[in-house]
Amino acid sequence: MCARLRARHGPTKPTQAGPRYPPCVITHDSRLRPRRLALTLAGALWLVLGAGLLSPAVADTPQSWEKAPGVSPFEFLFVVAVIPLGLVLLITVLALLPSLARDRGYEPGQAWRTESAWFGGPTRGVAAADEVTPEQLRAGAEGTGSTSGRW
Amino acid sequence: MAAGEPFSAAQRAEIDRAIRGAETTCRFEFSVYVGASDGESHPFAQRLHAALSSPDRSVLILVDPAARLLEVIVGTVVRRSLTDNAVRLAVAGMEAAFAAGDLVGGIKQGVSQLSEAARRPATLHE
Repeated sequence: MCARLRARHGPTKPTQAGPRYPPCVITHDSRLRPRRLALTLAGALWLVLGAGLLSPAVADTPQSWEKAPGVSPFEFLFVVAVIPLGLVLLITVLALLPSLARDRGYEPGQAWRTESAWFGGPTRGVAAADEVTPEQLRAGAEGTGSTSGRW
Repeated sequence: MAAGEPFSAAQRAEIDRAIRGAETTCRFEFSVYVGASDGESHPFAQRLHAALSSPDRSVLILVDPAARLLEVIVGTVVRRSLTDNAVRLAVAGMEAAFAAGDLVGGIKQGVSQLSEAARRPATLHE
């Protein structure tokens, strides 16, 4: 690689550092820079002018074409805004539906929902607790242990 | 899941399994009520306990997640095997799980801890 670079630059005085280290340092020759810039500008100018001279801009539709029907602002808005928004909504709903329908139950950290659940209780549920007489309650409370906690 | 149903079918099955396991372990009955208390939590828990089929042989755990309250009522017969200290220990474990937001895990842990503590050691001679 270094040999090839040296061959390209010809017999110019080597601009690299000492022969031992680093073995090949490429430096940009500052004398070549203005020439390269001028060449680039000239090329670009030629391309622009050439394109302008060879094919003049034609903005109008050809005469042979049929006259395009006029589009009302409502139609324009419908196509540009309403249809894409509708599609976005439809895709969002379709993406969310499975997670909404899934049976997830209570998840850690959630606020408690209003319904209560009684496992191993009477079949009538909390209604059975309402029918407990004070005598039953007094008899039941005697000798029972109770511990409360809060978190 | 039905509207307003607090637990999913899988969670209900987990709690049911824990209760069945506990009842098999210690031969006492366990009941877990999860929901809002009707009035004061302690009298309400006592009413629920009294409404059970055999209150003397039952343990009722009331968990009120909205009020962050927990009540454990131990029947007279169960109390002979289940000490108050063991209940307090189980309550502390449940409180820690509930504070971490793990409602189902806390219930399962509490039920199994209570049943282990209520299990009578096998007697070698009568």
